[in-house]
Amino acid sequence: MKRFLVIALLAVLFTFGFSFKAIMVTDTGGLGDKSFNDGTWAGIKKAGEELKIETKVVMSLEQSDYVPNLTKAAEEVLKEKDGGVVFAVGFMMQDALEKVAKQYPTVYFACIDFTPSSTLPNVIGFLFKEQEAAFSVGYIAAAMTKTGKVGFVGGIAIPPVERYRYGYEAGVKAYQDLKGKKVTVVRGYTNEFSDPKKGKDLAISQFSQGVDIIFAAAGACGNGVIEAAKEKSEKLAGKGLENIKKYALSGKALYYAIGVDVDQDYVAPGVVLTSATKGVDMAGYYGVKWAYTGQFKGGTQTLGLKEQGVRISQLTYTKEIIDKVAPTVLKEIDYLQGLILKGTITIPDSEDALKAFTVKGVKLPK
Amino acid sequence: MKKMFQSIAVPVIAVVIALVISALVILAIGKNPIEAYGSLIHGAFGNQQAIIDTLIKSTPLILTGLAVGFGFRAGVFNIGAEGQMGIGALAAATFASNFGGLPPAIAIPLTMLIGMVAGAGWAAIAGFLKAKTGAHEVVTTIMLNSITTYIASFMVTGPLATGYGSPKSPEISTSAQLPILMRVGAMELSSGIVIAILAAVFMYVFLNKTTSGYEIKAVGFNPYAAEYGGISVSKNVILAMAISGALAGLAGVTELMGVHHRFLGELAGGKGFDGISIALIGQNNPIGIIFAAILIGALRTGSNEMQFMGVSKYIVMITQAIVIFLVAADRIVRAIYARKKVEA
Amino acid sequence: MNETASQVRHEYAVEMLEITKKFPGVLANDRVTIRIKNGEIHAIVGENGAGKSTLMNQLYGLYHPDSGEIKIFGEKKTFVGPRDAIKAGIGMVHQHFMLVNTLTATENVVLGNEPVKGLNFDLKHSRQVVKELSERYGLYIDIDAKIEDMPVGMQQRVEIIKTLYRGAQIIILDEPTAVLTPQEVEELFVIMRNLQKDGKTILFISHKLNEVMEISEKITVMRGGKVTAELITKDTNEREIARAMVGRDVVLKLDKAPHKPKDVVFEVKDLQVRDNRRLEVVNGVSLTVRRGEVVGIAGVAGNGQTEFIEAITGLRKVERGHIIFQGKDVTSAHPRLLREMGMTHIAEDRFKYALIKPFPAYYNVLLGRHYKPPFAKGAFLDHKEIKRYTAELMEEFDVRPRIIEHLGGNFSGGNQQKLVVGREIKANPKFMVVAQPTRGLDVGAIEFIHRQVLRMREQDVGILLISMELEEIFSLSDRILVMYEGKIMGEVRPEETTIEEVGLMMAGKKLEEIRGGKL
Repeated sequence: MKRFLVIALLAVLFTFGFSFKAIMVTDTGGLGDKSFNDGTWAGIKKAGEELKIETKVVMSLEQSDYVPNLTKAAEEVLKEKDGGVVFAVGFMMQDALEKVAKQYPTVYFACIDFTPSSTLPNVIGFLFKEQEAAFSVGYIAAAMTKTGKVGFVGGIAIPPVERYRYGYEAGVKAYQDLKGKKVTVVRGYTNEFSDPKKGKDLAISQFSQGVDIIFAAAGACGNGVIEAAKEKSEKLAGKGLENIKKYALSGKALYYAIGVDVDQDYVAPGVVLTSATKGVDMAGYYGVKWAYTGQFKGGTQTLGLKEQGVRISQLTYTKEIIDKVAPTVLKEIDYLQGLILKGTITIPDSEDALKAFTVKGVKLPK
Repeated sequence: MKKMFQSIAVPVIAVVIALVISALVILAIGKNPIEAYGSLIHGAFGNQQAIIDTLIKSTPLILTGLAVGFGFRAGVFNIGAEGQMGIGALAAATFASNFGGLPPAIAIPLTMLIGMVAGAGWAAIAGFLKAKTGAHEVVTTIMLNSITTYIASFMVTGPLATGYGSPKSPEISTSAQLPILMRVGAMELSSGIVIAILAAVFMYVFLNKTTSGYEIKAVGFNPYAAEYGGISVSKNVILAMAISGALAGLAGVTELMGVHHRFLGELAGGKGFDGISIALIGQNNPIGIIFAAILIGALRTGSNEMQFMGVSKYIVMITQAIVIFLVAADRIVRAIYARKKVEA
Repeated sequence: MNETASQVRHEYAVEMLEITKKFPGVLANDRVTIRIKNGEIHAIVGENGAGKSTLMNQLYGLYHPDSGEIKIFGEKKTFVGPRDAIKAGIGMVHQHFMLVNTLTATENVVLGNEPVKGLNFDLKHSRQVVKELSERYGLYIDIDAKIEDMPVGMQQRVEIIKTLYRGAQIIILDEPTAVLTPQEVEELFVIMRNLQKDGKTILFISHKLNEVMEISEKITVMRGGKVTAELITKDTNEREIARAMVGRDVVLKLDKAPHKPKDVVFEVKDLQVRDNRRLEVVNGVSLTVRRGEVVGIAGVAGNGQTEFIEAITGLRKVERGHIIFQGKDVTSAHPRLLREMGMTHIAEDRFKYALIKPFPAYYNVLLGRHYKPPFAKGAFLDHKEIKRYTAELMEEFDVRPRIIEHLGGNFSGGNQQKLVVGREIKANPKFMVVAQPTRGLDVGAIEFIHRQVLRMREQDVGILLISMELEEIFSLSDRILVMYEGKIMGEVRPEETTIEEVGLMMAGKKLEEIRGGKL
């Protein structure tokens, strides 16, 4: 009992000092997806620590939780002297957010991956140019494949997932055009974002069709894709990064996955070739910071390569392998990314743009 | 009298034991279970918003619970309420987003009817297969669930797709939206809860007062005796599945017309399967099912409040699982007991 | 084997003293004491639920008495399971045989105690032992035949040999005659006497009074978990036994008033039916039933009666042939149509067909007529009328307890049957199929139901009676047909035939052969 009193006292003191709160409401995927929700939460926490403010996360179990959870979060924020910000993570919360945000005009709301259909002064929507990161991983995949078939596993075919795909396929196409290597893309969707089993099933089926590298843009389903690749590769090379490396460096074929949203390279070192990361943490971080400092402006913020909103991972475990199999590819990517920043090439963000996309005219430096 | 007491006591004791076990888990993670339960209760019933939230969550659970419970009473195990709920909502959404011009007095009942017919038809497929080929409904309804999932994803990413963001159908026309009973902040309690309670009344009256209800129960208890008594088993199996499916379809329709106002990819979200637990806890009795659904709805609503004090939502899921386990275990114990008595 | 000495010396083979056994809600045995002399055939009789089986199961180690003592050859015993009872020299032949169908007689006998030679099963020695036992007591069997190929009577002998092989001195026979033809019953009695001559003690459980009178020396009568009489067979009679069983005077044989049958109401022509394994189990049966007439079909169980009944009541597909009811062809008609036309059916298997156990009495009496007035008003049930009617029926047919809400499964067997009989009779039938109407019932209930059948006959209802009980067939029928392997062996009148003649037909002899041989 004593302990509780002490905690309560501390809590009171704490709130007196810094009366600002950041609360994140997850979608039904929840924390632990090693991707989207986790990434945003990391950014919010980072900002919270820096600014010494209280942060909280609330998970939603079902879709009808969105309105009450956002409402409760807004109520909590209202209790604070200096207010706060509520994060709605995930496109599925759009309807709910619009309803709730209108009810609480004095509370800041930040949405990750979507924007409300009409501009509200207290709502900021963070969007990303996923295609710009996906382009690079597609390029790497095309360079690394030994079977000439690479896979794409999407969650639900919603715009961010599709933008990943457009970028990925554009990257593959660019490699084909520049290098003359024939590479096809096999696509599949799990139709949800939370069940790794479905991702794994789909990955196994793609592997059996001759695919050897799969890019998973499917939330937590993607963890199943990574697991499938890991099992396949470990069967060939043995467990552990050392064995994988040794096997790959000897020039033999392995199975790889490509991570998404956050740096997933560590999930299966050596097997996750690279990750197309999205700065959801950046969005989380800035969302809190702007709200706290008063720089908050309603509307849409699109983060791309330029804003460091998207990038590819550090290749901590796989750089050697890539350099061995495709010695020039990383340099070429640097060059191509430079072209993207300059605006010389535009990575497609729609099906039509993808069809029209071409890198003809681009000359790789020797 | 004793029997009635027993049938109420069993689920109540199960809930109490489950809460005690969960309290130990909460203690183990270093939180105060009394505070946690305090916030759970406050979150579920503490203010108007909470009560509305609880009722909103309970509405589809009542209906899927009735769907599964009705099936049980008729001797069929409709594990496909999930799919029937989805297909019902999908059909209703397709209709209601395209025929906006109708006045509410026509649009509302018509949309509901379409959703119920779709759910009924979907379930009747499994009923027909059982009656004519003996294919077990557990298998066929599960398969129909998968088919529904894919049809739904196809529809919301294809023909019905609208807007930016999540895959979803356009908003249904306002004339097909259920009237709002109460509005607090962004929370809206639609008349879906009234429909759910009316459905429970319907189930009670149908099963206990009508000749068709008599036939369906007879088939459920003893199909041989039913056939002997001139009751067609195959006709009643199909009918039972269809009514069960209509109730599940209605669950989808009230979610569509009362809560989301559009079809979303994960509209059913496991509520069809929740119906199985709810039917079990409510012992297939319409009134029991209402209370069981409100219990589960309240646990879920309250769990969100519990999260604000740092207790994971998984604790509530554990509680719920223990309740179901204990209620089911009671059945097991009783079955063993009954067998012993027969042997004697 | 040094027990043998004491076994021979002691006066009583079995003493069960002050045995009490409770089950939840039931006092199955209430301070029961029985003493069975060494070497006697002792009958234990009683109605269903009187506590006979519970008592015997305790003797065989299947249950433990709550209190009381069991002594075998004067020695106090506590049985943890049947193994202990077998060791003490007790053998039991259950009503349902415990044999492995795919093994031979020899293999079944030695199962669990196989003689071995080195590491191998010693078949030769086993065959020899079984053969010896079989010949010694006149238990004639084909020791190498598989159980599934044997008639029921022979299977029973395998069971008896099994107990002897295990060294039984005391043999419990639980309703052994229920499945036998009259001739097989006679043969069983010869075997029992052989066993007795050899010093075995036999406990014979039965509810057939004539058999008890014929074979036993002493009779213990049980009712409601208590011993109500201990009788010496030669000093008693069936009436006295029946009174002790039921607790009142019972009319054992009803007088059947002469009654003139009217026109034909029901006719079967060359009927052929298959069972669930698609085997032809009814093969070319033809018969007619007139109004005001009871036609009895006798036969040993499993000769196609079940499928025949199901076929004529619309519950099973007819392969070939015709069923004509009131001049209309109703072959493979739905049961509802048959009921509409005035056919009712007292089903042989109460639990499968006639009763819905979780339904209260007032729903069970409705079955078959639930959809029409006076029980239904439009789509709704008229509960007031239903309940009134149920109370009336329960009064009229003396169903106890008289609680209309009582669940079907909670009535005793006799009262369940009364409920079913009441329902089928009160539907005002023109023709009734009455199958095994008194199976498992006690003497009092049997008398009641027989009276009801004869009352219907007097009201000019046509009745087709199917029964395994010859006595029942003889006392109720105007004509008797005997069914064997799906065919009718012959038709006789009860007053012009004998039990022996019908028994021979039940064993597969055609009437012409029997009478041809005699004449």
